[in-house]
Amino acid sequence: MGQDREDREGRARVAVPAPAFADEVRRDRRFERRLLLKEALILLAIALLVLARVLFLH
Amino acid sequence: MIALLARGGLGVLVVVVMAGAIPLLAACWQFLLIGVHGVRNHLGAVADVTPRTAIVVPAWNEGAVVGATVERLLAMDYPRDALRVYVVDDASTDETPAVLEAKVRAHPGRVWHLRREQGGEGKAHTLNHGLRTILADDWAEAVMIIDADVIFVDDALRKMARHLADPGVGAVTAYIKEGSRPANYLNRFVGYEYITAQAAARRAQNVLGAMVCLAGGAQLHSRTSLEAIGGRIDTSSLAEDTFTTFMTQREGRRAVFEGSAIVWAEEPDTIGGLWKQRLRWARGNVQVTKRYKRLWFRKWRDRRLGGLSFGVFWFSIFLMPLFMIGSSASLVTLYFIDDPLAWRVFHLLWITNAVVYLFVTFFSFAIDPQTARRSWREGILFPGVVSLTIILATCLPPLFDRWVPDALRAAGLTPGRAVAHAAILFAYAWLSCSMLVAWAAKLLESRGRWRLLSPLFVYVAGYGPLLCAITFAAYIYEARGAEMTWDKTEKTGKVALA
Repeated sequence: MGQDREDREGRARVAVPAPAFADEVRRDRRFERRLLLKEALILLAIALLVLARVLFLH
Repeated sequence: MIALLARGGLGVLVVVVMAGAIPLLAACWQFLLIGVHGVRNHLGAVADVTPRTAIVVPAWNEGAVVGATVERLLAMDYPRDALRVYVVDDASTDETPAVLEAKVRAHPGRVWHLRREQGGEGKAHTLNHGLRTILADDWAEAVMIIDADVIFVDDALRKMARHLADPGVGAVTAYIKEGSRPANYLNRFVGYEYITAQAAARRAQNVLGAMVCLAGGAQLHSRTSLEAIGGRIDTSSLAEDTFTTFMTQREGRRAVFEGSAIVWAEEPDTIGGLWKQRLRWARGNVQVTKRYKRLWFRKWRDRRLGGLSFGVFWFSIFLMPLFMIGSSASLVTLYFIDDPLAWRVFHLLWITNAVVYLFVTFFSFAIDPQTARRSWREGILFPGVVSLTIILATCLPPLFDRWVPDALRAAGLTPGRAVAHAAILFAYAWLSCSMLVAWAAKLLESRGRWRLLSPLFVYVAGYGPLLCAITFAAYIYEARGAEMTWDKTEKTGKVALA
């Protein structure tokens, strides 16, 4: 836990050392971006399945 | 003229059948938006702030869990002098008061025990008792509303609070996960459901900038926002969380979902318990729909809540039982009028179902692999065994055209045309029948040794149809003007950090 200090509005305190906080946010943003990649891969796989169904099972 | 009318009638039937695909397409659209969340989320506006937070915990006969809850809350990764816990004891008759007095003595200035002498009016009244005390003092900059039995992962509050650095955000909610250990089949169904209804749906709502509901077990409000909605929770309905969410957004502030803030909760492990909880939620949704009747699909009234996507998401869930009944009833009618047309429309509907099912199921597993590892069977069987069989039959025509008949013939059975037609009619009617079978599962659960069959009925009918049956029951309760009772979900304290 970092030292307590007030922000520019004097309302809240900083809890985590700045680099650790930035790392945490970066990690969370990376997780969200990876969901986009996973979504694209799943959609691609489904598209291939549909194509296979159309080509081979009709 | 008669021919024209007949064609028009057929067209209407086809449209009603295909309306059954609206909830599927809405789900698909919702899941597509999750990808957009990868590049369009609120993480760009967060800052390292930890506002002074008062946690308000409503408790009625929570002696078994409330002590541990308080200790865990105080031990969270959050500045010690910026966290207070206010437990509102709703006239408990068990050891709750004694447990809380001990906690107040052990943590002076950090834990408050607020006692209501007359309780039983519901969670909203209990919360309001706490909010009055908290807001009377200017210490709190933010208020967190939770349930007495939930377990916050250490960094959950901190991760939620960082969004309040943006003054445009009024409230933040976390990802509630089913945490019962040991978990039975129903807990696992709920676990999977929460991936779709929370981790997935709320990410999509983040993209739209319009939230359906802040989770009752974890909602962090800025003081400014809470005061702007009157400093109290709505007590006139069974959907206090949804009303709070709507009111916050109507006041011009955003409600944000933080998917990496994890909170574990115990959910019902019997159909009876689930039915009671979800009936309350579904009746609450009927009340919300009526209260905001001038808002839906009216973007000029509210840019976000009145938007097309938001309205479609809301009504595709709210009207799902009607879509299902309308679709299957029209298919059965078409069968007797124009059999080949019925067959084509049926195929189109179920192929749509298959594609959406694959997308939603596998993407849900990818969103929360931890829960997926525990609930993968329930995820796959979410639509039920019969619906999955219909999906297979639609996607693999040789299965029932050749392979199954060949296998039956090899076994000395030769199904006649009557059996084939009965099977087709059954498949057409299944969307409605599935709700009846799910309802039968509830009835069986309270019938002595027949209760052993109850889980089997849920797997056969599907968990989704069970939820639809509950929504349908909610329509009936609300139409009858049934009394609003706040049935507390029974908790046993078996939730654990995974």
